[in-house]
Amino acid sequence: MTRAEKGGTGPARSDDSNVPPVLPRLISLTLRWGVGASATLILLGLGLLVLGPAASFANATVQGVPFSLSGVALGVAHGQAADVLLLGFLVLIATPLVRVMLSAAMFATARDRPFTILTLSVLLLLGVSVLLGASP
Amino acid sequence: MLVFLSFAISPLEFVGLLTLIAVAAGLTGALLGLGGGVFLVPAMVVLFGIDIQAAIVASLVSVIGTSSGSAATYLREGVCDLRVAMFLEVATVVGGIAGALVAVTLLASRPQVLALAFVPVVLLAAVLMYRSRASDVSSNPPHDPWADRLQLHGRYFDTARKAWVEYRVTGTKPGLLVAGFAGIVSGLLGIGGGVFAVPAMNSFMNVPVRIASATSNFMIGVTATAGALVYFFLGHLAVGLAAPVAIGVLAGSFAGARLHRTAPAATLKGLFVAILLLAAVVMLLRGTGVLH
Repeated sequence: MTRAEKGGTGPARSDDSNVPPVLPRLISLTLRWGVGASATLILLGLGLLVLGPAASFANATVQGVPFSLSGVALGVAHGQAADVLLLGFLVLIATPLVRVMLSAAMFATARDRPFTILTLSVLLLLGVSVLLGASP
Repeated sequence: MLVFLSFAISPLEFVGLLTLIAVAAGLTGALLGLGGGVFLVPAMVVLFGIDIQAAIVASLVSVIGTSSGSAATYLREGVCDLRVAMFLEVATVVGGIAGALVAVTLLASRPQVLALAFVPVVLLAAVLMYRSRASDVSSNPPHDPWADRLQLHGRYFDTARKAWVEYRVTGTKPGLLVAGFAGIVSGLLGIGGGVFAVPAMNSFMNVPVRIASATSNFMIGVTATAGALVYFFLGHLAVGLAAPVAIGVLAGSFAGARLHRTAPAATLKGLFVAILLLAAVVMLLRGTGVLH
């Protein structure tokens, strides 16, 4: 008997008995916490941006600027609105990435080789996407 | 300068108005089982005079938040098909990257082409929405070797009938094709692509509509991330624009998910089709230079 049959929750699968029930729950929690953390950072950054100079607000609505991760970290430490916002969006974008990593772990634990490979390919493609954006 | 319908506005007014519009888009999107990006981008461009590329990136990022938020709930309810999602994500991610790459290279200085690209997509979405009716799953669909090999067939607990409903997945190839198309549209135009993925899963792949819409919502986060990563690391994210949009859409979709059971679906559908047609006209006028 699967977890789903016992409790009526869990993944909509009949063949999930190999998957530890903790993993789908962990994915759900990751999504929830990721969205919560990023929304908090974005609200904070937006508050700082609105309270700051009107000209820099107008600029921030027109276009983005290239940034470095170390620059963002330094800016957050100094309470720079744009960097707090960038960190918030970074957390938001990272949330589905973590979700895919956990899915890979889930399929690997279930010894589902085709799906482990499929999930890792998605992860690889997302890595390519980062490289395409970050390359000069 | 910040404007709303060509009136100069303050930063606080800008944030307030943009958030309100994003709440409306998120709310309508959630009521209809979509992300809301299809109306958000035209609204930003027309009402606030925002550059279409910046609007697309802001919308794409907001879609990640909406998808992740609702997917968390669907996962707990056990209506997400993780296997079908992962299978189709291979195609949506490739499409999403391709769409974003085309936008930042070939169309980098051609905003009018992007506006025109919206027209057929929005019209197609309107047609799909107008004609949409959940087709019942067939108990004996054509045999599909990929679906068998990857064990894509599934089942879910129907709370209304209090019984397990089994479904056999078929049509994996047309499913992958439509998923790839949904990905391209997502990366290029900053929308989730659920408006194409849900009917594809339901009609071609024999997935029950309830599972298809939850699974599509779950997939959209990863699809949008593929395109968003390209834009984000290129430094194309206008944070002052994306922040009110993301917060508004998230708030609207949370409210929409709670209202979902009470809203009259037919009236909403009519309203949605009307808004989509309006968006198509506006983007056509914009793309052809009639409207500035």
